[in-house]
Amino acid sequence: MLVNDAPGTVGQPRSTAIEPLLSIRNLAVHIGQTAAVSEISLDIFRGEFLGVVGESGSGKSVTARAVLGLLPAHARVTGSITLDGEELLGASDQRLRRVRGGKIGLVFQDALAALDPVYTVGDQLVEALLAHHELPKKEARARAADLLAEVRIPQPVQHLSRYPHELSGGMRQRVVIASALIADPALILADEPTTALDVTVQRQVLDLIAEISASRGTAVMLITHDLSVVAETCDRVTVFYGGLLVEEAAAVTLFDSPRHPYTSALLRSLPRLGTQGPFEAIPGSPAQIRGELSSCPFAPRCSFVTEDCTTHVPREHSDAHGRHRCLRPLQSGST
Amino acid sequence: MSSIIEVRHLCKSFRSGRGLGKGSISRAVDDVSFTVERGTTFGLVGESGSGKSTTARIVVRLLDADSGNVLLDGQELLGLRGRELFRVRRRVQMVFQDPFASLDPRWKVGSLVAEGIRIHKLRPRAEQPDRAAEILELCGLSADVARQYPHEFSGGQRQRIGIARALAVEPEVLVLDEPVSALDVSIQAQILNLLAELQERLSLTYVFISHDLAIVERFCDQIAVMSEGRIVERGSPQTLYNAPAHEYTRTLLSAVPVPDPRRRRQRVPREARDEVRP
Repeated sequence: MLVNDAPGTVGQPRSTAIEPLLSIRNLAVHIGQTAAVSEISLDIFRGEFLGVVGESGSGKSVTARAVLGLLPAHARVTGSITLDGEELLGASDQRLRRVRGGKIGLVFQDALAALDPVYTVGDQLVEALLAHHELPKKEARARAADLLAEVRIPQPVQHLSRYPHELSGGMRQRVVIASALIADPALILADEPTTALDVTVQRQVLDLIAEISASRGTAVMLITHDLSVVAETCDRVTVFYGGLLVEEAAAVTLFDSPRHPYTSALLRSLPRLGTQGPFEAIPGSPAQIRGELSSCPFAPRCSFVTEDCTTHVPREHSDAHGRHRCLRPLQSGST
Repeated sequence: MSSIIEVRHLCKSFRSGRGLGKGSISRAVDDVSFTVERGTTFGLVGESGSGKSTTARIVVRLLDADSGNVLLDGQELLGLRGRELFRVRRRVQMVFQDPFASLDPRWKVGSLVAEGIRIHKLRPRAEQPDRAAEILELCGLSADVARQYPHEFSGGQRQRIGIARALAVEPEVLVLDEPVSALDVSIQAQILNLLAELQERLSLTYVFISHDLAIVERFCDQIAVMSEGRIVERGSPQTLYNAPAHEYTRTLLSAVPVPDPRRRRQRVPREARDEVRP
């Protein structure tokens, strides 16, 4: 049995008067017999940079797809997802199409797949601009060039007439970010935006997203498997494992003193420059949830496992430090 | 120590670009030389397009070079044909990045591992399944997995199968092309530790191709940094990390994300964003 409280305020205390921009409550997603996401509650506030970290099968991308209404038709979704107070679960396709690319801008991993190869960069941006704004075509083209300038593409006017294949991976991802900004979104949902990029380009794209978030006041939900990327960008971090949100804390707190054994083990397994000796692996394989979750999904790999961990799903605890789902959380200050 | 692999002035160009006749020539590998000592790990690190994978593919003879030499124990590999090439291939094996693409889905794991043993006639037919099981166990898998198909395994387990397949022919050198890049972080460490253990037990020599500086630094004895087809700097991990001589190495090192939010806060001013926060 899962028991869920509203997520506690984390990091700096927030007054209850401030409404979250996006609010996920008790989200559960079943795909076939698999509980892909179990009882996830999560808030994002305006202007905030939130990291969602998890391995394959953790439920991080399924949660993102639920927010966007992009889950397969046979997925069973329960709970609530509100954006600016408006319920998105069960909203019409037409409504959800307005949300995607409207209030929520999207940046996915594969920029080449996100762009249409037979249209120029300019044509694609103009088409999307005209879908969201009533504008003369000429003005739309000028705005498209402004967007390319905002994402630091040199010679923006010339780049309007380029095709996606003529651009480098980093430039393509900048074009995708530009198109995400078209409707002046309140939230940018970025799913592994730099995973396919080289480190030097990754650095530039992360800086760009942080810069845009700062200058426009746009909230960012950054979904990634990479804790280092999160450390570089996020104010607050949530960690997913086996379809559960296992920990949430302010970035500095989470990296300094993780409470969940998974977070701690993941931090120790990271290769860091300037360290020696064998790598600290987490034994076992990432969780594969079949059927309903009936125990802590991390229990088979956890070095602190107790019998209780294998008989029921830990309930959520929240305190000044953050939130976690663990029966034997690590003490603050120990890693 | 003696060198087992010696690469001298390797060059390889590709014709790239638009349609027939109009292509331009790109120098993928441009005068690359290095030596790998027996029993050590040599890291080739660089970004996409740096030529590191092309170099690896030439060393295992999956690609032909335009010019240069690759010596294995003093014997020239480039230009070898037929029976001689077959014998050399047993000694130098490759492990690929994507364990989902490199294993034939229609073959059982036992057959995948036994294939090399059969082709190179390393064991009598009757002993081949046992030998395959033995190698799987060496790679941290139970002997039972021989009866299963690749799709039944997670990425980390598949990479173990890929390594077992390479080890089946009892090679001296493994060329590892981004062997952990496709894996979850918690699994990467498992595979790297397995590789380190196997190197020790079997006295293997590794050529380790990677874009990940943090891994290369910890895993390799010698590192060469590649950019635009050339080796721009080489040395021990300590030297490269503490005193990078080449500008490109410094750029690469400073781009690696640091898993410490405090370090970032000093680098990127946050004032602008704090203003718009509630």
